Amino acid sequence: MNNRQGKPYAGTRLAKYLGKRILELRPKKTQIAIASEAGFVNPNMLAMIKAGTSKLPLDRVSTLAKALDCDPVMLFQLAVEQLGGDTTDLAVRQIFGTLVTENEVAWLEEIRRASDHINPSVTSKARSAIRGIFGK
Amino acid sequence: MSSGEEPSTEGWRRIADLRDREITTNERFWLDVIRLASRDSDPAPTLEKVQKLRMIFHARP
Repeated sequence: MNNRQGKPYAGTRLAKYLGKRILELRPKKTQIAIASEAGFVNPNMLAMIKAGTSKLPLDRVSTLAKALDCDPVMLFQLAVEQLGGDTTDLAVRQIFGTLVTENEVAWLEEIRRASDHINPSVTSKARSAIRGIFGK
Repeated sequence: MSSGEEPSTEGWRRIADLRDREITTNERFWLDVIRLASRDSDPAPTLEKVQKLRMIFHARP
């Protein structure tokens, strides 16, 4: 964490994802355009979230997900992580269950179908196969 | 989802169905492995990737 530099959220997955996604979208739209689409009154707010100075408020998750063209469930998960501590994460999971994105729903359905609904465990062989499928 | 729009009615139904049905510990583990391997990029299933996934199970004895 970069707490001492005033960037308490710099190491979070959300800050990292935001930086990566803004870069990916650069040919299509600017960071200021994304901030505006997400409804940030002050466009600097997005820069601050990206830098890890501020955290993403939960009430901006939905609009920012649309602006970033990403799954709102995934962004919500990352925003919850920024709230700090396993207890918040645990509370969300206890109430809502494991949060899954639409793509993850599709992957789980594929796994169920491909495994003939035997609820397979992840073997080390499967793990390395998954790395091969998604790894770059 | 990559369109930036709300999921379709069918999409919401599938998500709701999945949440109504408890995800097993094994399935949560599968998701963790996928998230780690894809570096949290939330990849959509493509034909090529799905075919590779099926190979994992077809290769099992």
